[in-house]
Amino acid sequence: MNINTAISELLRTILDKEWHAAYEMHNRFRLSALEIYEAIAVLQQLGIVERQGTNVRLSERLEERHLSIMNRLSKTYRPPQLEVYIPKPLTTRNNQVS
Amino acid sequence: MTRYLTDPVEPSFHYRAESISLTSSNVDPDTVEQIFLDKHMTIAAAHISADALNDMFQLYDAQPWVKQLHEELTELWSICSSRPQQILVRDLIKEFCMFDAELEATACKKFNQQIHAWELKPNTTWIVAVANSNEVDGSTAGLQKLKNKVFPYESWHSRFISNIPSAGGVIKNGDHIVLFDDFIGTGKKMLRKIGWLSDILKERGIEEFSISCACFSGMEFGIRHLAEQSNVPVFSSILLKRGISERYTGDELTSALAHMKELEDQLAPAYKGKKLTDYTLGYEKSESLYCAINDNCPNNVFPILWWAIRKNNIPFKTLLQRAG
Repeated sequence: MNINTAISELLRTILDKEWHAAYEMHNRFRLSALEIYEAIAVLQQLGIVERQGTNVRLSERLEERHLSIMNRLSKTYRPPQLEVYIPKPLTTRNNQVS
Repeated sequence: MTRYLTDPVEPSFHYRAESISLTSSNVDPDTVEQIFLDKHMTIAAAHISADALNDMFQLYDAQPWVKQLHEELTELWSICSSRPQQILVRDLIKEFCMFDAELEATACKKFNQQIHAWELKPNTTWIVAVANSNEVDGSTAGLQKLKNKVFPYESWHSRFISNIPSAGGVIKNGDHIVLFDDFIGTGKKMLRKIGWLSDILKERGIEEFSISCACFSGMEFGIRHLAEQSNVPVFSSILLKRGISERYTGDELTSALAHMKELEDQLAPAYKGKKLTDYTLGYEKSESLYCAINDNCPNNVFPILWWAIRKNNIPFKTLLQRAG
């Protein structure tokens, strides 16, 4: 499970201050139910989001420390699952890019 | 073509293969990359329905222990061929009693209180696990947990015996025996154990003894049956109702039983020499929704939660595991 990605995608989605269905996160980003659930739980515990059933939105009572945490959590990380994969260089003779 | 990647488990539903292993150094990078991209190179979760996601959220809220069984849960959902089946499984898991450390601490405390309520004294009482001499089971494990929970434990700990044959050798006339099992399902096993211990004692000429039965958790109907048939006091910290028959009524009951039957039809009719028909709705139709955490699943539980093979011998990653 890669909760870092789930948190950053969730934060980006709910910045519009509207309610969002957890299913939207699954549909758009193909995050698993558990990743979404855990991401919401972490943000809820920090007081950053409000959850009702499977809906979530940005808390209406955000303070500076919340914004600071959100800023930190919004950074993305390379998922550990991808560590075994070394991508092909973009500039090679084969794909005619020099 | 040489296969460089591990074959994924047959994806009966949709969970992603998260582990990738390259097994050869003599690998054509393009081939590997293509296979990666085609089959493995994804961190994306497979698509599920909004209903299924909603179910998962409800279960994570109600039963936090299922969070670490995400794949098993997904397989269980995939075995359901209709939405009502999924709803039934979801509702049953929500009602499930997972005997965790907190419940265990409470059960041990209540056991101690019950020993004192029965006014038993350590010099004349034996607390005996219902295990045979050569097996390890839940009763022995449970007794170990109780060893320092019956006060004053310095007087009591030496009165715990791990199996019936050993108890048969030390009990004297006038002693009281508390037969202990961690879980009582139908109550029939405990009845057999009472009979067995009584026979051993009678063979030794011990005629004056009294018996009580105790467990951490038990099915209400099983405890009742045991008390009626044996005429001995029975104590259980947790009393459980049948998962379907004692929760649903009328049409809901009929359809819930039908859905469970349909689900069981997805399982292999035989497994490790056992017939599924003997365990339909759990052993003797117990319909139990109970397991101790990190422990062997009782056969009284609905087989859909532990019968590890599907029709046509397809392995089934079950929510709970049962050995034996």
